[in-house]
Amino acid sequence: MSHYYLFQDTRKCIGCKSCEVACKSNKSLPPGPRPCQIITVGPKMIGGLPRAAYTFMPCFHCENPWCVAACPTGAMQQRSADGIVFVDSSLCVGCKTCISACPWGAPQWNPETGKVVKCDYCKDRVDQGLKPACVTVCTTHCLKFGKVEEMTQIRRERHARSVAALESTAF
Amino acid sequence: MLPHAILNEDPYPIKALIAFRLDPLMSIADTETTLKALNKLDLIVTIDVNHSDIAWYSDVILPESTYLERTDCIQQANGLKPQMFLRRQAVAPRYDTREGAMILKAIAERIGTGQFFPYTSVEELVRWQLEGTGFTLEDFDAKGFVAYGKNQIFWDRKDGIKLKTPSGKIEFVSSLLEKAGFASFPAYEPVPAPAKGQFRLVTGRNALHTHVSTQNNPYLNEQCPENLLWINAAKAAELGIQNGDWLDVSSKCFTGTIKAFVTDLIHPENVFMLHGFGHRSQLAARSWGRGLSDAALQENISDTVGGSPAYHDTFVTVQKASVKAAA
Repeated sequence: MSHYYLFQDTRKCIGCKSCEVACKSNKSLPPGPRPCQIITVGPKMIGGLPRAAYTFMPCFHCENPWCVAACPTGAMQQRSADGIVFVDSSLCVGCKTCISACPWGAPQWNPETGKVVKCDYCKDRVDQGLKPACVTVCTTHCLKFGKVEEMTQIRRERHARSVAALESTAF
Repeated sequence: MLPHAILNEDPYPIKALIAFRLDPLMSIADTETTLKALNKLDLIVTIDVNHSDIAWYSDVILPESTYLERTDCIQQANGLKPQMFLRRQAVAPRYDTREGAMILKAIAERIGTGQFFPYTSVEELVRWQLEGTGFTLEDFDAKGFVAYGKNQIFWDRKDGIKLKTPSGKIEFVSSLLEKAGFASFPAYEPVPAPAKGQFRLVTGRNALHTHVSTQNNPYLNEQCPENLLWINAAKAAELGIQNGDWLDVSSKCFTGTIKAFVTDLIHPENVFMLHGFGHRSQLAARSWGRGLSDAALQENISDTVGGSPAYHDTFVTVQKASVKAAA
């Protein structure tokens, strides 16, 4: 697992796809590949109201990445310093083995280059102390990038606030 | 009003149109009438950053620099804490394009009205705008905007707040309306319901496109390349329409084709489509002919009191397309 985690606050996401567009623009990608993607589920009637959910799907940067193990040329790699999984496109031969191997559909096909492109958390930006492109444009600030430990704290604190009984001593 | 003014020479004959960041073909209801009006003109000039539909119909296109390549005039952001903001050039223009204000000045000089544009650069124009405000161009260096005060302005009615009404007070019975012959409290009149076999055409926006100008953008076109006609599932079943079917949609003004989106989440009397599709500009290759233009279908109806266009007063008929449109 990389040291980082990209947290999506699903309660805030409105499915505007700014993240997808900023990601593609940052990597100068043609139509087709989406290194990160918002998948819309619904709308579905819940309690008489239409509800839709938007799930953010980047690469999860696994601890033991299937794609890295499957890659025959060594193009797919994991950075030892921080665990970011990335593809060295100069070594990629377009065999698509990583696409077959990844259970999450993270490696994307770039028809312009005939090679794979994937989410690398914008490692060039991260190395400069910047945030990934998708996070910087998020309309509702529902995407947050940081160390895993900091990200889990968001949900814990929110849950604590929702169950806190400041005025009642019964709990 | 523009097509009416041109066609009827009301209040005077109009010979030429300079469209500056406006697309009359996409944003004025009843496009066929707008086209008739445009055809009556001797000259159409468009200042734009896109191959808009009006650019396609123009005699001359004067390309404006894109927003990163130009400095704009100072703009005002009203609110509880009023601010001025400035969009400044970030990079030099890539092609032979200019700032809108400089294009207008150059036109004015050629037609002998240059004295009304007494600036040599947009920066000079901005400095003139700022005269008397207490701010200078340099004040925008830090953040790109300045606020008039530190705190939000709240008015207290007990302090003799002055309203911009003739009486200076809140007017429940509006003297402006009454003098113009309109009742301040008109009795409710039911809106016309669609006749049998008709639907009310409802249009709107989504988060992916801005008005009529982004449908050809490569990334936004990938996200949302065309509009669909939302139609209630029960009504669609009556008409034998299935999701994805090509449909003919007809109003008093126009008939066009669009794909169906069958859903329970729309009122049975209404059909809905996104605004901004069905572009006619062939140089905007990605958006050309994709989807259907709401403006083409809409009748040109205005609110009789305020004058605003009534965008949801057009009734349409819907049927499966007689000839299957190209995918």
